[in-house]
Amino acid sequence: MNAGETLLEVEELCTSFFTDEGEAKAVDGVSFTVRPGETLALVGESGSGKSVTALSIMRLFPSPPGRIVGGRLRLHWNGVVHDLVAASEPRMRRLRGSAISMIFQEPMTSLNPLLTVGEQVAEVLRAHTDLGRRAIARRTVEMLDRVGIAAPERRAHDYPHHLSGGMRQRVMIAVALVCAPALLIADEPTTALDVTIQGQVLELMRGLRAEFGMGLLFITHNLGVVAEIADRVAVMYAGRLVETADVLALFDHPRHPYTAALLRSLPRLCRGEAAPAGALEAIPGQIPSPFERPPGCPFAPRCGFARPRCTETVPPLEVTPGGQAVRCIRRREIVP
Amino acid sequence: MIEVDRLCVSFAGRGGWLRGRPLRVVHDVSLTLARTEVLGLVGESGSGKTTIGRAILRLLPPAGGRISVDGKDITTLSRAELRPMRRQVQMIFQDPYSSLDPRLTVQQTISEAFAIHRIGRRHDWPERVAALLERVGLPPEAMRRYPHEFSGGQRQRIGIARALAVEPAYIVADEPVSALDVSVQAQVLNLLGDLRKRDRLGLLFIAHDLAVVQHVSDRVVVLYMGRIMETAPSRALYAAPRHPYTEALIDAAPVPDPRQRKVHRSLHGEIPRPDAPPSGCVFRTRCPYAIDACARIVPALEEVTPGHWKACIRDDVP
Repeated sequence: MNAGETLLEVEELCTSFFTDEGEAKAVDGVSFTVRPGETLALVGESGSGKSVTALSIMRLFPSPPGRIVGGRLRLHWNGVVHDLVAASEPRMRRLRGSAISMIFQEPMTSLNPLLTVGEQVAEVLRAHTDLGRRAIARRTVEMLDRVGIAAPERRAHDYPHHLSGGMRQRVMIAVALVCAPALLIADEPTTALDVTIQGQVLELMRGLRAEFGMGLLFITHNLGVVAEIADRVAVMYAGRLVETADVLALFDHPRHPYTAALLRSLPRLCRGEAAPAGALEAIPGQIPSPFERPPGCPFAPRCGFARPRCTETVPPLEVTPGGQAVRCIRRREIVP
Repeated sequence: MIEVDRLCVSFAGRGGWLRGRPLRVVHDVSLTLARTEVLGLVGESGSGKTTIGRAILRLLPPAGGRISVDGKDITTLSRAELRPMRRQVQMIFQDPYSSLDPRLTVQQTISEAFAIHRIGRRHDWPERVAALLERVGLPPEAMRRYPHEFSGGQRQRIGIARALAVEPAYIVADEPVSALDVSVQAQVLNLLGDLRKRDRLGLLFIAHDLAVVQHVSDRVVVLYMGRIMETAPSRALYAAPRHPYTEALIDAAPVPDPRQRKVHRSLHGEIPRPDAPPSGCVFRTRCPYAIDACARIVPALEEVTPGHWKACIRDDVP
């Protein structure tokens, strides 16, 4: 790939947590890229490593016990390649908020309860721009207005606890985007919201991505949300990437047995007279603990296609002619 | 049958400016649940769905209305008088991490239910526990282990085994799969489906996920701000919702199919605060079909086709 087209390169990233119970390989050799203006959904269940991947890019995981033990993270921004693994903490602070921003599932934990929402937006502008007081105030109100907060001049003086969950999420988006970062990382941003509010926030994020032209790394466990927002999808399981694909290809022809099984296990909303099927096609077994990952392919113990050799070595990530990347040694045998 | 007739539930103000002013969170809710039936109770936050479930178990005192179980009025029973009812109606909770006592083994947790309801002889309990574990798909060795040794899905199975221990006729399941990973949700949904068929249990299934509710329910009640908006047999409700809120909820649910990507325009605004509900129909402030009369008239639940009820004054929508 031409480097000019790439915004973020994640290459063989390994992040571990060192605890009394041993080394938990939260992220184990994960590679993907995000291009400008593109939405990559990083999908996985608990323990898949999707959030730790995001926090590694931001360098926001607790350290110790966490440490990036291998791999490269490169951000292409303002004509410079920034090495996010080697960057000093002051350098990371300059990049956060201006080049990369992150929003979280629960806005209350990342908004400061002691500052008005206007102050929190203004703080980012003071840190990363040379704007004067009046310009900052004007830009703050514009941004709150842009994320759909009614009467933004008045609302700027409210504290986070005055706002509903949906409004707080909008404020957090305003804080994240006010300096127009090249990359926005969103970690389950709609998971805590009611379904009707979730729709509004997804709509807002789609509009803002088009307007700001940023790359979006959208982390979620919800395949419905993935289908709504992603251009490309990376599926993680037990610390590893098992499949990456364009969103249509992933849902039409999932190539990894885990992706296929996950899609089949979902209860689907049936409209019209069609009745939902009887029993769901559940995936047997449990997600392995990060301290006791099975050898070889981590999905093998739950996989209907597993063979003894699946537990011998970790399968390589192979790219199909269609551009899908799949980590399964039986990939050629089990799919058309 | 469980019959709930015009149930009202209020919370006392917890201080501040609300002090002394009770806040009504469930308004005149009537519903029935037969043995062997699954009734889905669906709504967003503040809809009152969890409160209704807890009131049916008398974990919360009703502020009005009547609840009866198999013909016996339980609305005003004392704690001691409630014990036989507690054996009839059990509950499964959302969070399998906080609903099990971390200091008790699985055997102790389940045996507690035997002790409270004086079921069987003490020396038979281990055998009963093993049988229950088998019914929920856990090996008998699991009884000697502690909750932290299990995954979320396994803990939910333990919660289900504990509920089944007293051989209830009804189970209130409050968001039983929403804290579970997608790949284990289906396991637990299938288990609940099997139990209902095999054990002829009545299940009140409380959830916010419309696809999950459709999958398990025979009938569905849609709640908004503590009031019933619509209730119907599951198939009729999803095929042709008659209340604008139900339509909006179905439209808003993200579908795992990128070819059906939608534009979310139908519902603007947020759920109003329960202490300042809109006049007339509580949904009118967000309803795309609202007319002036909606602010004046509190819509009554009306039967539109047999078994299909809606609380909306407009018959021409959606």
